Amino acid sequence: MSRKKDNERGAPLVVESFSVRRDDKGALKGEITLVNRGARTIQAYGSVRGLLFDPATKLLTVLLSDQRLLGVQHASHFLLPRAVAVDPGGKRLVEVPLPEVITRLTPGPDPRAPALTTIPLSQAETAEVEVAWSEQPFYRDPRDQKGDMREQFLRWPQGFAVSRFPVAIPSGEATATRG
Amino acid sequence: MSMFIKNDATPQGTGMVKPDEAFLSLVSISNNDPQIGEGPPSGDLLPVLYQHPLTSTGPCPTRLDTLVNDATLMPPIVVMAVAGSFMLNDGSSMSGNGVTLRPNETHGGINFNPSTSILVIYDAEQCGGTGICVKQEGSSDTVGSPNSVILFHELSHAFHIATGTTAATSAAEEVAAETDENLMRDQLGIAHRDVNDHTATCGTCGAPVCCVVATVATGSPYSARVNELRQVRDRFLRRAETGFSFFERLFEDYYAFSPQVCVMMARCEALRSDIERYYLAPLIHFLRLVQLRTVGHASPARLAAALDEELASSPGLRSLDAATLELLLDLYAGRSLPLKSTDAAHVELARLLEERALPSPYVDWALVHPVRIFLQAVQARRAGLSAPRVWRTMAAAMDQWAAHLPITDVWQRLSSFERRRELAFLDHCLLRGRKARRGFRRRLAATLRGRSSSPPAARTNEAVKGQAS
Repeated sequence: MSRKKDNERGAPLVVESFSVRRDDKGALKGEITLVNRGARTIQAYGSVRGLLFDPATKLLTVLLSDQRLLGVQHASHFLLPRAVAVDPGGKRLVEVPLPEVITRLTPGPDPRAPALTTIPLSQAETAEVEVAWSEQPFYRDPRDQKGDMREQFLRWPQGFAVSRFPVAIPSGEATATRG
Repeated sequence: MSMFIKNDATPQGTGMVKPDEAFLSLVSISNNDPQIGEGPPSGDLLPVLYQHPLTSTGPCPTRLDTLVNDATLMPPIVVMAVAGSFMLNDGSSMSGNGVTLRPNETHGGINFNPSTSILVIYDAEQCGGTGICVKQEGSSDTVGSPNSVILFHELSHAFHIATGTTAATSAAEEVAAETDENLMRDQLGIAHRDVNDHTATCGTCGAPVCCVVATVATGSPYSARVNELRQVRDRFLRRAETGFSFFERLFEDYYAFSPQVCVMMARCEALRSDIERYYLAPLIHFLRLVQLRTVGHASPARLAAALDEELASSPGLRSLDAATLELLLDLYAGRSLPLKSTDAAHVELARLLEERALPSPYVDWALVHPVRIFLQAVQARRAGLSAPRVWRTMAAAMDQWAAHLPITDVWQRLSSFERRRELAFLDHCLLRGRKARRGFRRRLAATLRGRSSSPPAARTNEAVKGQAS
């Protein structure tokens, strides 16, 4: 499926701002402000489906969409994304939990087990936020006998709101590790 | 075969890996067998020991015994209980999920498991503590998935990989793993999962949300009325190609105004109550009668009795005075403005109906015209006509309504065989009367020949009113 471009003028949903703060328990929270410039209510993903980090550019990509994720074969289930509605002409603040570190499995000294490499989120300098949206809520397609919900969700968005912001992660304790 | 628990051997310990949680889940799978334990660590691997004689019996301890002790099975399994913020190598969040990875499993050039073991990873934090819910067998409600259930599901995949018995398709493999998962549910005494539904949600388990206006009007996504609407939608019309296409157009138009109706209901209790009594109730009564007539093959006498039963079950409609009934019929026919009401919410609703709902042939046919037909029947009964006579009139109106099912573009793309199949399906669940079948086929033929079909039934009460008076 081709990704529709959504930063074009005229796309109803826009990611207006993104910032990261620590809540009263010290956990990182991302705050995404969505603006609906259209005349209809917009339904959008309201939960983070994945995080990408490019150490070379310090770019953190926050994915509130499934399109750029590969999906593996033997998962316990397809976890349905949380949905949020943005009123016509309205704003909606979406708060998402963020981890202290990005994890990656790498070859370990014992070939029987991968090593766990972590990259602190605080290394990020820029964040790109991508939000899948549609003017209609998601409805399951009962004709699909295979029940492949991931495929159905990949077909659902009318578009993607994508914006980049400079980002500063409030200081924490996480440091780069390998184990 | 051998099984290990992955330890968190990072210098400070990131808290990402939770070996104690993994061990507790394995103890639960063994049905709390004291024979299960851990051996001395080897690097950051903790060997799982399950020593004979076992004291627990049953399919789950037996499966675990095989996975840990059968020396013929290879490669080893590594169990990794992780925090919800753990990510797979493509960046996917593991929150609320579990996964089994073959040795060096690679997708899109990314190696998800750079090891020689079968790697089982699962979120031991249960979606940040909110819980993981899956669809319950034989119910529209959901049921929880404790960690041991998720791990047993993943160990089922691991067993299939190790024994070379993975099903031919991923869908069949999931059914097999979910069937195994239900053995663990039996052991824990919790409800079975529907093995044909592979989805889950984070949060408190219950019924899924559907039908926004009905949900707000009845105060709950779990209400019987919402459930009925969901079933009509998904078990009948949406299963057909043409019905699915119709609902796509309906949703497009419905969501142009329904969120605003929900906001108005949230701000005005009187409006919420009115919508439940004077809109939702007649719509559901009508749909029940349609189902009884089509799928239920009920006789006219039974349907006349059912009409009275529906009325009797709706005190709000029974107590309607004639003037309010007339006002409602005007409202649903788009003749209500300017509304003689000082209530801003009701005036706003009437405006929304007139401007956004009624101009849509899809919304009118599916959500408004049925209400008009039912309210006309109420009016006729209140005028003293007998139930059989009112039913005859209503059945004629129902046939006229069914024949005017909006025809979407999808009909043009179907082969002759597919069209016949769709028509047979519609005959079964919608087009019960001869007039309905003939009328719809005539419109369809005109559409396929390139002539526009007649618009959906005009918003008039005259046909029924004329016979009722």
